[in-house]
Amino acid sequence: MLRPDDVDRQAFRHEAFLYSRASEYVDQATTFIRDGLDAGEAVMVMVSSAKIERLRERLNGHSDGVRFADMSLIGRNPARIIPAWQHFVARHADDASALRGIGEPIWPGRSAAELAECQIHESLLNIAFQDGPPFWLLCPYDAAGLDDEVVAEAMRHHPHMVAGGVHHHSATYDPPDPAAPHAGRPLPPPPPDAEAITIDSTRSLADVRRFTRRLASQAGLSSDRERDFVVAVNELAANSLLHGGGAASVHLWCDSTTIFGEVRDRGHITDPLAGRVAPSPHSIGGRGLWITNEVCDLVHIRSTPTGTAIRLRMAR
Amino acid sequence: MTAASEPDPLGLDVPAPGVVVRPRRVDGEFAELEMRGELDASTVSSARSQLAAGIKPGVREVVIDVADLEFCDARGVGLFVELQERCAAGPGSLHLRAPSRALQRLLAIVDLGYLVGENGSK
Repeated sequence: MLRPDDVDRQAFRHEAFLYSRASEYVDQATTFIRDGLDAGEAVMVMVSSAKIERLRERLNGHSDGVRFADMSLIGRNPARIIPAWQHFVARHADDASALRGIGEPIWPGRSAAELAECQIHESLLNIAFQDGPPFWLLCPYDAAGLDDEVVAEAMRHHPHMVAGGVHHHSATYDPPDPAAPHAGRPLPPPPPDAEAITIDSTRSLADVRRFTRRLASQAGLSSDRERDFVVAVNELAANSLLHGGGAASVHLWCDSTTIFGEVRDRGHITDPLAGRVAPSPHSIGGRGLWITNEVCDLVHIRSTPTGTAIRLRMAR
Repeated sequence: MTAASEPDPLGLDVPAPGVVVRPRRVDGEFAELEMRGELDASTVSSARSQLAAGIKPGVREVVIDVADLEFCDARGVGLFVELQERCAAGPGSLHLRAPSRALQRLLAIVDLGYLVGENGSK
């Protein structure tokens, strides 16, 4: 049962839940939800639509107070998950004694590129809610279906674990580095046949957009997707001009399923939640990476004191 | 820049259009302007000074026709927020008229759809 004796309910509790059978998943998740509802807590569940159906069935009419969201939609780009939790927390911080969530961003079948961003997302959660109201977030991991390395990585990103009904602290928990929160594993370089343009005093953003539009059009993107891709590459290039030392390289390329855009500059992104906090309607800046995350399927941010590379992906 | 006789290898030798703001009608506290071209991080300061020249002190209600604004990025949105905040302090309002679908989508993403809404103010 998910009723540990030593739960610190005054803070953010980020806990990985390792399960091997569907019945175990449904049992533990519904107990967790019911306990929350009984205690007057606000509860939100972000998992696949198939799992939402199973949980609703088991809750048997007692799921009215639960907010459900389809993780396969919200979490397609994992950078959009923290904003969804932030929205939930902000909405209930005053009217609920505490908050509870179930979030399953990682499932068998996620691509390696998606998985990398999901793992960064899990790590950043530890920073995103550390100073917020009491919030217990349970992250189910299908230990039978996922590779062992994925489970080992989960233990590095969750301070708390529960498996077989037993709660414990993760011995391998590795908190994100606040000085270089986007260091990550370096991206492999763009392929040799990528098309490149350098932004400096002789190339304007309008040039970058025309260059990007031409490649996106050749890749066969629909006109809406092409426009979104151009918007995203433009935002990264504009960030480089303003914050990245005034010069940058832009690389564009495709494979059979995806168009890629990558912008590299000499800047360093130190805000761990860059692009993951909804911009205030009154602020003048701070919208570039937010827009990029909203329009792209996947955004890889890799940033160290020596420079930043941001790679965008969009399905063709 | 690439020499005029030699075509740019990237096919980008057509000059960038920039951004142009023109006043259309000023009537006491009301000003209508049009903005055309491409509003981005490189052109936003030009747009800001053109707007300042077109919106005289005492104007409270500002309408900008953006039908021919072909592109707008996050910094362009930031300029509209700047102007909206100034108008609201008046108190007054800013309304963007005839936005393209692309601009409507962009403003929806950053939760500023009200700038192009029916009333033009929140």
